[in-house]
Amino acid sequence: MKRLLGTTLSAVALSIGALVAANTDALAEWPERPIKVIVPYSPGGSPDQLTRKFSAVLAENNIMSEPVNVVNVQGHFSVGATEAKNAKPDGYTFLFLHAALMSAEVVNPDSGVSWRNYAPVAKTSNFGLTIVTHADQPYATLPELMEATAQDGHDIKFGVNLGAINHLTYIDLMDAWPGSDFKLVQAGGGGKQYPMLKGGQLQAGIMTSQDILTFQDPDIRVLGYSGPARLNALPDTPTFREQGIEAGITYDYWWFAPIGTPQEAIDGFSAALEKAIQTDDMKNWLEAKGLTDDFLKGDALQADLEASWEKIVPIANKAKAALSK
Amino acid sequence: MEGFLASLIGLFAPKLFFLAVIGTVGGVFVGSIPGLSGTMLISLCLPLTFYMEPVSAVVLLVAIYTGSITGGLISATLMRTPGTVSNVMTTLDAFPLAQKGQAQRALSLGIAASFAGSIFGWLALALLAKPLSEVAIKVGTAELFALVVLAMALISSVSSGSMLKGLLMGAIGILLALPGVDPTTGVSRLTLGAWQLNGGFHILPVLIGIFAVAPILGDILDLDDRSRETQERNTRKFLFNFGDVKRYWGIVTRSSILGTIVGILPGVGGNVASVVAYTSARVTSKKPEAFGKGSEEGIVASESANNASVGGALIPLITLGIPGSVVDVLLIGALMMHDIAPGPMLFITNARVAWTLVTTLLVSSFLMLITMIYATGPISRLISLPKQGILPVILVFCVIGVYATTNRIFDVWMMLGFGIFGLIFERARFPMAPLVVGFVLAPIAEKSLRSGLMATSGDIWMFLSQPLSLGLLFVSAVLFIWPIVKAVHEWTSTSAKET
Repeated sequence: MKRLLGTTLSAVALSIGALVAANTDALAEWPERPIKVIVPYSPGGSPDQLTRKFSAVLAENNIMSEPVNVVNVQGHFSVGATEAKNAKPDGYTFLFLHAALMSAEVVNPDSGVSWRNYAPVAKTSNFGLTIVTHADQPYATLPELMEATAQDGHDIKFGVNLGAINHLTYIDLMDAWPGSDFKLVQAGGGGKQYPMLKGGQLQAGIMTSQDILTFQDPDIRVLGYSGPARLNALPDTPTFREQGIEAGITYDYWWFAPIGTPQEAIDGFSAALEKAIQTDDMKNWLEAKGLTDDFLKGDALQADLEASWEKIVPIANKAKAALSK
Repeated sequence: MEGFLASLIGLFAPKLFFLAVIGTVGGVFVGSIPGLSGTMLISLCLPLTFYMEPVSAVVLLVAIYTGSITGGLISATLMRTPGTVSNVMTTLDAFPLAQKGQAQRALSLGIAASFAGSIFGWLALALLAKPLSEVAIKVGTAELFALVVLAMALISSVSSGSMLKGLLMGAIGILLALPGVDPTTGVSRLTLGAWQLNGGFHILPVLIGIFAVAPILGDILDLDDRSRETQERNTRKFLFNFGDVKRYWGIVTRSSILGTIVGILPGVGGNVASVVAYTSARVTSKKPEAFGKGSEEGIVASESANNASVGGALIPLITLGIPGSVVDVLLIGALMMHDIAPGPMLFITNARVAWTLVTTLLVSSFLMLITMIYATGPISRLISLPKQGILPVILVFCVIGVYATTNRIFDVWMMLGFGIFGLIFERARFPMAPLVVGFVLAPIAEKSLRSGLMATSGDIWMFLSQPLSLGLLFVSAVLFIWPIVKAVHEWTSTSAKET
């Protein structure tokens, strides 16, 4: 029996060893083996779809000689982000993420995440959020909804994911309309709010344009988009500013590498992503999903990250204050 | 109807039928290997489907889903290790029955119940999808909370043996569900400073650890003890007759209804379905004492419910675009990659894909039945190879399965840790079923309670003012307190006799 226990344990040790050993050799000419991109969200969601589309475009257009593999790490996003931070900086592990990284640094310092823990690689595309209501609600425009909440106060239930980016957009919007007072209900992202809106447990909510395009439900009325210009995918949805509301924060999708990653790999990967985003295939795909084809790398990216951080910190602090109440 | 028939006939085109067979058979085999789950196989096949036509992708993924949820029955019966987390409750009765020399009987019942549940879920999907999803979205946080509390109150009744041990395990299960980033405020809690726990304990390492690794470790310790083995290895005969239909149609119908309803609820799948059906079957059974010791009713309830949940989970997907289970999230992802929006417009914009979802479930249910009848023989012969050879192989599959799903070595260590935990508690005769109930249901209870309280500004009255939630909470209180009162009464009367 002892021998069997030994055999079993060594089998387990070997299989773990084989999994760990996958990333160990030094770099001669990047890339010489497949690249791993950690997406700290579940498969099938918006970030996952975007990464997989990039992976497909990179392969189909022969932009990269080696495949780019998407690895989903589920649970809270900080888990996957920290896995990436601690990964060996050999030029074969990257992280794909959005502004949740900055928001969590302020709202939940215990999660231990910070955007400064990574070497920035690229920014690919930008997205805003939309304010929605059920079609049987009387509000035809965003100002009508805001006016109603300022008057009736606490009667309109508004779904958010507290501490997450949709909560930040909500706070940004509230700041622009003094006196507004929704009853916030913890619901989660758009996928969670949608059935609650349909079932009458929420009167209004906030979701991404991808969510709107997923459900394509005439019961959901889209009142406004937080981005600087209307989306081609949602041509009938005016922006906040078009409706006279001075608010509108947007978020970026970023690619990071562990600190210490060879510059050759960072430059190589960002150049490949830039080529990919310039293909018609990628551009059309992004447009259909309500995402922009913004691209930044190098110093411009660093400056853009600083600017995003400056914008997000004050709003995230308000979110934190609201949460600790 | 036209769309349905066209799609059904289309499924018998060589290419699609081939994918349906491959998916179902692959699902059954992967499902039957402890540690490997259908969710894992579907995640691994997902990138492949991006290169397929949308209809082919749907056929492959739905067929895997149906096959895998049933395949786990085989190892649950013959090895006391559930093939997937949806078969955990099946193990509780199927293995004891197999130990009594009735492995064939346990498998046959499980297969028949799975098929019946699968067809039941399909009927609900095909005929009642629209009205059911309209009811489902009306289920508010108060009702959902009350429903989950009711299921958790049954902890005291699923625990065979010591009541106190059962409650303790239920509490441990709830405790295990708490660490991680607080779902309501986004702040880490009970993580003991470990960032690895920000996402909480993943369900796979916990359940695979306790229900697959622990028995394997136990088997290794008991290798010289032959008494624990199943007596019968010949499982080629299908032991099922019309008397069983008469005997079990009631329990199959009830469990399938519960399974379908649980499937419809967003985010919960086959594992919760079988937990809920099993507990309710035990409460309503005439022989509740047989549960956990080889009750045929237990097997039938668990297997029909987890299969019915597949059809149930597809209902919100095709009517609203909301995932009813984890696998559905992957299905939505596959459709989205093809620019198909799985919302209420699906039957209008992509009728062929929508009908394919419905017809594939039907066809793969039949394929599953055939595969199961013919596969149990070879699979059980594999399992009956000398344990010295088979146990390390399964343990390696557990490692691979957990890593392939979560992509973290941390979770592999967790799985081994929970394996040791499970072994110790099992040897001390603590029941494991209450732990699953607590661990699986506590997060749903927490989220619905806290969202509900936010909607009422902290007023608890909402939960008591609505007739449905009030009724459910009242029944829960009675169910929870009654066994305790009974136990205390028995204890006082026996101690009175002694003095």
